[in-house]
Amino acid sequence: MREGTVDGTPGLEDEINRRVAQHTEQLKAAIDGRDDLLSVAAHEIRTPLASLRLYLDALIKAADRGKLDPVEAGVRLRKAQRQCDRLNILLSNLLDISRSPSRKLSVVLEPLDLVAVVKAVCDRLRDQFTHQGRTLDVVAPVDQLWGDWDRMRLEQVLTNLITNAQKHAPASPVRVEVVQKGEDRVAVTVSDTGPGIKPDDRERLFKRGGQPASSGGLGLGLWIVSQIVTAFGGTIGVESEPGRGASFTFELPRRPAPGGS
Amino acid sequence: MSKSVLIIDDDAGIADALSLLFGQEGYDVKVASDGGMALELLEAQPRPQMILLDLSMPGMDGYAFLRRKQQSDALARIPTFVMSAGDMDDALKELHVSGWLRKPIKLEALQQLLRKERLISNPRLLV
Repeated sequence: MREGTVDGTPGLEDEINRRVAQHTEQLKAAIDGRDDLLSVAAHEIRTPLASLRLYLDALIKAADRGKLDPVEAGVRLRKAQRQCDRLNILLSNLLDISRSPSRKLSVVLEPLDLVAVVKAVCDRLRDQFTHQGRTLDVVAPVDQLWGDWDRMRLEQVLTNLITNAQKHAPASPVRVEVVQKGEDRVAVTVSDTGPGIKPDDRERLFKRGGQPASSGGLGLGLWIVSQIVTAFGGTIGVESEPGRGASFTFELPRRPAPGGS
Repeated sequence: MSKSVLIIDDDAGIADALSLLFGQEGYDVKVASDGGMALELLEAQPRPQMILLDLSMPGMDGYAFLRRKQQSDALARIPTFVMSAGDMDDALKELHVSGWLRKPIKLEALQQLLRKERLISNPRLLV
């Protein structure tokens, strides 16, 4: 057999070696990517866990000293509860990331008031904005806007979009606007006045791996948002100019088709 | 003289929970969400007796804050404890950090650190 041949086929061994090297590189990159993601995920989970632990420490200490004021305890327990909600959303994000593409996203529809859900999510996240000296406002033209959606998924979409604005538009106020689109559809826009997004980056945002994982997040929040909105039979888009902020809008049917996910 | 602390952390939950713990110990607590806001607070008198500092923050991060703090004799004297999930690195050693609290912070670790620095038993030691 001549050098560089397999069973006398010229160049086949070279081709096999080239492909093996290529696949090895791809696998190595995938493992590195997974390790980076796990590292960022651990950091993301540790933060709410840390404050939850401190709240409990403080309340236990006050109780041990017989100085647990019921009103003060109620305020702190609600703040601790928000950290549990934050952990829940983070874990949902992680489960969605690890879900195989062939498995459907689980969606359980129930009658919900979109305005109330938006306000509740913003109330949970507002502490963080106030702490950073900025605002998180809700604009809704009506008091109630009912439809059939999955509460946890809706909260996940809103939380991911708001925390995305919080991370990428530091110091900017964030506004969440709820709009009725005719009889059958609704839209929610999350906008900021931050640095905006370059046209080239806009196209990648909703794709898996379109945002880099960093200490600021998993880098997969918008991809997850896109998956959930699509599962509801909705659409998602972004309008932005560099230096002039960004507005993410998702539009949903008020009554998604059963099994549409 | 009352005990006082400045907590610098971009996470509202951690800053608030630490405020509660220090408040229970009788500390006067101030909170900043990044290094820039902390430097503004440090311009006012009286200055805190110690600082708890997160490293990873948007805006001015913990490293940049420590470098700026070292440029002022008055601020450089304030003991600063870094809160981080990572390990103490060489850059921090050069920035004269007083101590290290590993996140997630446990109450026992905080109490041990404060006892070690004798802040609880005799805060005047640090004046």
